[in-house]
Amino acid sequence: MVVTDSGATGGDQGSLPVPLLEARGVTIRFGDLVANQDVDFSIYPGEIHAILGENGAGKSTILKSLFGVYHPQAGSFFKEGHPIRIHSPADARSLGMGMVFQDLRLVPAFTVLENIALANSRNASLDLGRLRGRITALAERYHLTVDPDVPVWQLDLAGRQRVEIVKVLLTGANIILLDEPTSVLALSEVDAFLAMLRRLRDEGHAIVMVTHKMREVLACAGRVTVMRAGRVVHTTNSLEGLNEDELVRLMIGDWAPTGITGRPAVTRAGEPVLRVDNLSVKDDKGRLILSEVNLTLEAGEIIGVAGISGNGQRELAEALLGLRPLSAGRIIAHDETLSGAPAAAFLNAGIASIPQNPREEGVVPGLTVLEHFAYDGLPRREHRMQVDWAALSADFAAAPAVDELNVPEPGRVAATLSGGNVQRMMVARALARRPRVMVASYPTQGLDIATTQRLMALLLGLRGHGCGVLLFSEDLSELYQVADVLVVVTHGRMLGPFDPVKIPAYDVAGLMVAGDGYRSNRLGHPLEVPA
Amino acid sequence: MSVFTVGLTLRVKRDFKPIAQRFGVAAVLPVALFALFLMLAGVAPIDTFAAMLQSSVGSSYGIGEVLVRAAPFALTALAAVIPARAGLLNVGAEGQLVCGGLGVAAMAFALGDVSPAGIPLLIVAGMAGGAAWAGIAGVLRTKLQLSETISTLLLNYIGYLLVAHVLQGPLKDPASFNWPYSAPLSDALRFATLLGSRVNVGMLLAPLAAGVLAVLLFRTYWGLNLRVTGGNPQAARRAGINVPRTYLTVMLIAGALAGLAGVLQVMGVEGRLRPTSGVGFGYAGFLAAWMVGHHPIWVLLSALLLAAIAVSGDALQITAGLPASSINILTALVLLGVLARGRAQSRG
Repeated sequence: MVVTDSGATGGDQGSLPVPLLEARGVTIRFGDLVANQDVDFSIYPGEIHAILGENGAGKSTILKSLFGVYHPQAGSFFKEGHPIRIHSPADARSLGMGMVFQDLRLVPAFTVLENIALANSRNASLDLGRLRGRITALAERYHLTVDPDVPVWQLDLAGRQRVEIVKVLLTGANIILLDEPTSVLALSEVDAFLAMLRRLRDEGHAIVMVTHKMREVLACAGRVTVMRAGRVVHTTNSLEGLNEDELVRLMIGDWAPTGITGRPAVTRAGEPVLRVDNLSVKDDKGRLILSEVNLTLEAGEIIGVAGISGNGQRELAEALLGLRPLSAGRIIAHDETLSGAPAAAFLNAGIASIPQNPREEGVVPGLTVLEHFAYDGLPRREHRMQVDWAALSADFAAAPAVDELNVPEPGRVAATLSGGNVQRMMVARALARRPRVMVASYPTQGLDIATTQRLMALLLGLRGHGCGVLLFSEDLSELYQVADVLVVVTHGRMLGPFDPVKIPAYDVAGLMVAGDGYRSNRLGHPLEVPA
Repeated sequence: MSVFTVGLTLRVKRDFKPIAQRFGVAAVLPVALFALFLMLAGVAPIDTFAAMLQSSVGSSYGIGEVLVRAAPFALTALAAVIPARAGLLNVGAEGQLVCGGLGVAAMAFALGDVSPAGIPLLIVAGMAGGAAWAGIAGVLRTKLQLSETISTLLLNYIGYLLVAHVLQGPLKDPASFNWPYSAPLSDALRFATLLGSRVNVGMLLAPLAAGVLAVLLFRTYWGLNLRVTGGNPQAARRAGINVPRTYLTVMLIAGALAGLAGVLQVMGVEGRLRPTSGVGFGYAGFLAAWMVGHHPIWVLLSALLLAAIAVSGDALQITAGLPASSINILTALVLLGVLARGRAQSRG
């Protein structure tokens, strides 16, 4: 196999020129944790270099040290062969680097234009009109939908990411560092995004992309560095001969995912646990984003909600949790009409949730993991009117999924948790409620493959215990893996229900993109959409 | 269990270090800068500091005066701490304090001459006066989404004027030679004092309130939910916490605390309500709260420090020939130190 030659370890790069940017022997420790151990990494002009690895493999760390966010305890950096020092992101920018962080760094109350102006605020004069023109030109050139005058809080994550990319491009960076860029993208946006990366590459930009999705690597990367447990386990100069299985093996070592193979048999038992009648909701701008939604979720059933994000999934999920008023319709759980009741009533009815943006919607930065479970998740434990922390600790240790998902220690402060750890906490907390209805919004975001598989098994476990699960996701393979029923949220409507055994994924994707006007190529007629 | 202990230790360490840092920058640096000011004013800083220390903590009288001032400072500080923990900024302890004083004066006027049994009624009336004033800002915030920072600040001025108006009118003491004072409380309705000093039993209410609030805040579900609301209102909503009700509750509590400071001033120190009673105490408390990162127990310390500074102002006049109000420079420097510290932290 071609892949066995390890390019970055040798000095001689053969046909490759001197690297544009190089890191040698980088070691970074956070206390006892070794995040990077003796990492070598190089980037050449006009290439897309993927860094592949599971959560905690040290991918983001090496990226951030290149960008001057972290300061390695050992190691050195070179630009075009000359030693350089990178003390701060400002240094990195002056070296021609630009970075799009995983947690996007924008001011929600400002418009897109204002946010971009803020990033350029070092320039003495601020010509907003001209900047607007540059943004529009750039957006057109790279096929990015960016409206300069929309406040950022109204954008979904994919939209915010596009703003970040425009921001970086406007600084004239020729080395672009992307930390898990596709994790916030809709399925349908990924191809366009990769095409944009290729376009940037063809114009001579060097692109480093951290990801744990192999398909993307195979689709666009020229080189790939695989990391595991803080070390580089493989660097290859060519993707020839590499396939998805091979990459997975490199990423996770000799452990093979024992995940769910095939969808378990449908055992639809139940009485309805959640019913939605003719529901309509508005988005934050007051526009009707979903209407005439009818849905019945039965005990022991997983309904997969497919759709491109931003089509009303967030609003629907919030309505189902009592967080957003309905414009019309009713929500009924166990014969109890909940619509109009406060959020607490929805929780008391046994509805738990995994939020779409955990950091914004579920995390209190100054509180510990255990405190997060105490205010939401575990039942109240009081001793002489005071919180009984000892009892809560015991409950935490015994809570379902805490061990299985490897939730961080109860004493950790939430602000210090990584994205993956936050997600583990959110999922385990929702499960600790022992819900009758679970509204899970993109629960696998930020999780590595192994944890994703465990989470899917947990959702199936919930289903086995008679819980109804509403799973919002853009990842069709995920939905097909576990859903008993599929619905598609698209163009202001909910289409379905569909039987995943009968409807091809290709057609679901078509509905997601084109709505009920979609015609299956193979079928040649409008897809039958049951009322 | 052991994991829990680790969590606790972590929390203590985490709390203590920033407080020590805040205190350092907020207290030591301003003193150095004030020394510079004294030298520019042609006064020997060491001698002046010595005189200031002598006047504040150098005698039992001085210590008593510091305590008399620290008690209301601590209460107005708590009036900032509780809302801050829920994510609100209460700048209105000034107005809430004077309305507390107004409540006491009005209740005393209504009761006429009564036995010491009226004391609890006066205390409740003072707390209710402060709570009502803060409640206005609370309702404006929850019903109209009006920033409580602005409304509490503006309500201070209305509060001063309301008190001035009432003291010129219905509550004016006919025997006060046309001064705008309320009638003096009868001795039976005043807090018992210690050996002829102004130190009185009512001052115990300050540490008591601090202790009770610390327990509520850190040990009960009520306090946990309050801190969740302050840390992330969205997360609070998702957890079924009634955020508007929390906002209203903390404002009412804050008002009651500031009102209690007014109670101390009227029933413990001045014996009657004047337009000047407790003016400036609210802002001092706000500062004391920020100095210690809104910790309900540590405010007792910062309140003492600010009280000592305030009391030592007289020494400036006597020994250095500077106006007593020049002590405000030192207080302002402390405020700037706190702000600089906060800014450095939010950056780092």
